[in-house]
Amino acid sequence: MDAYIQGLGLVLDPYVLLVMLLAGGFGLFMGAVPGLSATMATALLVPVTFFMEPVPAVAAIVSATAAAIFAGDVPGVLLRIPGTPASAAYTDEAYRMTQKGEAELALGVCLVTSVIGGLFGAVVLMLAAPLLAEFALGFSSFEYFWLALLGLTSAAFVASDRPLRGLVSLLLGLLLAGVGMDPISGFARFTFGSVDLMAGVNLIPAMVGMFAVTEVLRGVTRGFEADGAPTKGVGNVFKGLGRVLARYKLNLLRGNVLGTIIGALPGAGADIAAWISYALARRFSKEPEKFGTGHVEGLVDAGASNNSALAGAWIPAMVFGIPGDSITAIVIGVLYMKGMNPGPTVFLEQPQFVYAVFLAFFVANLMMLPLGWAAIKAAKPILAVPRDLLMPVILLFCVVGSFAINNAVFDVGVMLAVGLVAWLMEENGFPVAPIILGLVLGPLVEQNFLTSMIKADGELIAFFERPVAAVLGVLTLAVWLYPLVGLARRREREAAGGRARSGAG
Amino acid sequence: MRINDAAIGGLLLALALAVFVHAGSFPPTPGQPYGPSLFPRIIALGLGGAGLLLIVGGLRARRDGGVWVDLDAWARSGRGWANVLAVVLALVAYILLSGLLGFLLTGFVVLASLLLWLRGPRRLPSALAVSAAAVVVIHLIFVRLLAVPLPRGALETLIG
Repeated sequence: MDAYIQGLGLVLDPYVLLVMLLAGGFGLFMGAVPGLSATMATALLVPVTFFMEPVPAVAAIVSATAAAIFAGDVPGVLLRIPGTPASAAYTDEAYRMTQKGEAELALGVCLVTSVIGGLFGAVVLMLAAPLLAEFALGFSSFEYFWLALLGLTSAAFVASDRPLRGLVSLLLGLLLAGVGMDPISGFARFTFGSVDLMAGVNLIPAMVGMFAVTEVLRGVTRGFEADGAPTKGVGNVFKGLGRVLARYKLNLLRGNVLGTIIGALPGAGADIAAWISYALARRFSKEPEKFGTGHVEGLVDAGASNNSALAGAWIPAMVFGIPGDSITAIVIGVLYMKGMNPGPTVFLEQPQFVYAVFLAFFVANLMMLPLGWAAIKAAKPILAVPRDLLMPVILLFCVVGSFAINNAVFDVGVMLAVGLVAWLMEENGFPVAPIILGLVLGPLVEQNFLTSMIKADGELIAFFERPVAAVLGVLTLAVWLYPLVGLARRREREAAGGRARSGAG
Repeated sequence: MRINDAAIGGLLLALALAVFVHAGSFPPTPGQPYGPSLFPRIIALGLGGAGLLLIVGGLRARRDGGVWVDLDAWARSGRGWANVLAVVLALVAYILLSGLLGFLLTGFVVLASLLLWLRGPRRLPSALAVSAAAVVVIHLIFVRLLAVPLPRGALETLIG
């Protein structure tokens, strides 16, 4: 208890709060510009934190990443260009809402669910870190394989109005993910001699191409004002929010829980959490047909999920020094630098620092409410600019953002190539979102499958031998077979009805 | 611009076959039943199957009176395609020239040209002003603040 109070004192220091505020602003910018991400924001903050005490250093990173993950939603809602991969799962849905005139609701939902998700994750972090860390580290390649496969299956739910086309997009995404060095043997696949391709197709330039370049191409062919996007400012984002949240409180809870758990799994971060949450929301919704037309339900789940995943990622990071996502991979380095060696001993030797980190999460997410609101309002002058002037400028930002990841012009080429193909695909009714899912989860599925096969000496039954793997495996197979069962039952009912009618007549 | 499903399906089938055959050249992982060729081949099978389904659907649509290519209004005029070409050329120009001329000059010229093409020659002043402002802002944020090494050219060495 004493340590808590000490931790509180460490966080509620005016210098720390100021640092968090500035870092939050920085995070908002990094999240909102397509091509810049929360991970990059963290990486760029590291040299700045050299000169800080441990608590403000870590608090700055916490604040920046929370703001960045929310800020990615803003261009997604207003321009259909996600600012970070974590927002890509529901960008289409959110933009449909904007086209229906519900941009304020979409933004408000994204903001408030982000805050609630972050707070939930912070609470779980405080209460259950060691326990969840034990569970998360019990995951071996078998469990990861089933989880990744389950995630891929969610693509089928995300595009269920035109399943064949969604499947094609997913397969193309998986194929794209195969470019580069094979995860097990290191053999360079589909590189055709290019050194740049040996690292594979980078997710962010591909994503920027898929969303930003396609938007620009759509605009120059169909006219920029043609799709009903908002041109004046955004109104009151909090209007009608209470009703939405009350209606979908179960979704909110599910998004929070799922996000925290997925974040706690090493290697799975906010973007995967958002995808799986959105897909599950669609699968278990009482009105699944509304998804894709601009329905707010999926945003509640996924908006909360990606922010709670941020907090969840700190669980294995703090308890074992094993990163939960790419952001915490960098953070662990910072922790070591500041003498807060992550691991069980840090809870014993420096509890006040640990609690300060947890409390920083709270404060950062609460701070995000006014900061995010300000960011949304700041979007107003940007929206007033005529689209045919704005979009080419955004395109230049995207070019520089794509370049900035590896300092390679090759990535700009990737952005262009992927953008062109994606534009042609979308013109022909192929959804673009499953490509990203394939890119993100493909390597996970393949690597864990092959690793598991090596461990099991080629015995396929090994995928069901471990308890958690067996449960996940059965769940995945059930999810695959469920629609067939439903089909069979319906056929039976129709046949019975036909028999009854012909019998009575 | 919608291409008939059968054509798209044919394309996918060709891609699937190419991938499947190419994957045969991948060396197996010694001692393991599955190597780098496994997943590409599974994906190729899936793509081939989907391609076949699309071909069937497309041919059926043709039989019911569909067309091979359905052009929207914009696709029928030259202007839409010219705009697409303009965007592509702008990006290609940036990729090829930025290393030579540096970001400030290349970015300015490419953006201004694109804006000029899209908005017309009467909007020249705004195109120039906006391009200059955008390029300066990007330079300040990315190079000065975030220390991203954008390509340096004559203009960059002038300002130091």
